[in-house]
Amino acid sequence: MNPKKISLFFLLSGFVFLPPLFVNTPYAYIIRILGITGLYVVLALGLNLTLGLAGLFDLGFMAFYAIGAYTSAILSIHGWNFWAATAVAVAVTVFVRFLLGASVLRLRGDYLAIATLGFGEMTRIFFNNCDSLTNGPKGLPAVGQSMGLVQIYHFTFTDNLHFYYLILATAILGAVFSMRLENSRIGRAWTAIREDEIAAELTGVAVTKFKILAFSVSAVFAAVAGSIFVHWENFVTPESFTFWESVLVVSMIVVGGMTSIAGAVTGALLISALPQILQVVLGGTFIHYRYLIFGVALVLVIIFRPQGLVPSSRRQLELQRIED
Amino acid sequence: MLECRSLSVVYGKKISALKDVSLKVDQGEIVTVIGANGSGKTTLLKAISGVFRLDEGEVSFEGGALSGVPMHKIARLGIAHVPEGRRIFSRLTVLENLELGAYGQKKAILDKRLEEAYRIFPLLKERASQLGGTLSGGEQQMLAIARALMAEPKLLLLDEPSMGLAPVIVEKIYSTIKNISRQGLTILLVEQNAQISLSIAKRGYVLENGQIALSGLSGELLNNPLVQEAYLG
Repeated sequence: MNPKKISLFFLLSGFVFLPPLFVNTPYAYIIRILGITGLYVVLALGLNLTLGLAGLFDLGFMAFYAIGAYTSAILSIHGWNFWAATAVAVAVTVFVRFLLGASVLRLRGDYLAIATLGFGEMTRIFFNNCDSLTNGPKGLPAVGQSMGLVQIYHFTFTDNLHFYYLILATAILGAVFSMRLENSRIGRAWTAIREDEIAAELTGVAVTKFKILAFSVSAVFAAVAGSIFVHWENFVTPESFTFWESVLVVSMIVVGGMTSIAGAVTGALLISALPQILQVVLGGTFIHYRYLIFGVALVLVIIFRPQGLVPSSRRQLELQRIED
Repeated sequence: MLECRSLSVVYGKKISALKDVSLKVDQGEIVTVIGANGSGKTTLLKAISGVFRLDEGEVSFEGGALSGVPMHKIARLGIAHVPEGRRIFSRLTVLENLELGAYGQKKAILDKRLEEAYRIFPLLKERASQLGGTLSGGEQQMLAIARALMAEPKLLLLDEPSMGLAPVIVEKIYSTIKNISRQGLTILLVEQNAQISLSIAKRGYVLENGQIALSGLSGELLNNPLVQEAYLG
């Protein structure tokens, strides 16, 4: 085993074996923070496929987290079990993203960013106003309704720790899936599209088809994360899916290193977990400065480490050559 | 092999880039289209490979019409387009550029074609792990041609392979093009440098303001006083 693999092994073991030690201690909140961070990891991995690999600038990713979460919540309230609800949520989310992709993917760069941003806001406002379906800003489940439980065989997920492990497993699965995709024929096509669309098409890559594919596959990540989120939280309101959240996920990828899977994970860990942990450590007033520090950190990363904290080997190569 | 019948392309409903252009390329030939800047040469190639939609006329390749066929499918039919300005993937390695040229092929076929590409351009083998953008202009042009050859095309469309290159390099590239053609590949070559392109082509067309002004065997065109005055100086 090389040093990279060994450190990965220790890191993973840490995430698997350490959290149970916090149960019933004053630090039990760490499990919850790690769980939420895990959801961001899944989201960042999903967005990395479109933004990182295929180079499609998407500023409305939270819309699909929302669609996954709401679909799953509504089904769950109507008595569906978690797994079936998640499967349908994935199908619905992928379908909506496919439709959006088919209509806006002819736009490029800034224009695509604006179109997806608009869609993100539309979705949130829709959920906020469609009272009959979503109970509007009051959220789901409404008074008198309840969500289903998450069960495997006869085991029921109740504690934060249970959900933490569910999320950890999802994140690992997502990372492995991303890696396989990146090194496949599909990943190669996405890279070519990101670098030069016309040249890609002239070499026989079906550009439109692969762009829509990147778009649709990333929706799977958003929907699964959304479904776990509502079942864990037992509550969902449109408040959770603001534009700011979409920006956060984009920042995770930029800070971690575009296209890099390890980077997406690192970015999510840093941006989602660190402020919360620091808040506890430094006291409540820190939360007021969270965005300020966040902005400064982003600028610093872009100045001193434009390739991100854990850049993909490709980006690293690129920047080295330019510096030489 | 390739037949264009009265092609017209109009930009933005106003600017007519190609007007009623008809030409033919037979199996195994090198045919060149020469003309000044803005005469419609690049538009012609783009119309053939499907980058632009035709407003009128028809392109047929090996007897089948290409109208309505999407760009990437035209590429798979066996038409490889080496675009103007090369458009290599500058942030991918040379090897990755070549692999993309044979996109969708099995590993065994890929390896065979790679070997062939390296045989024609030995330099690319040395540069395999280097990023495309770090190659010199001439090397990039070679990479662009090699990438197109990776698709094992039946017809190669070359758009100004001499652009921005030193005369020595241009000669080198042209002798390679000639060699490739000797192995049976059909080539449609668009060029501003009439002298050199007519020297390797069998036939030529002269494009002027989007219309074909002259056509004939290369020798005839070279000796034609109009061509001499306008393009050979």
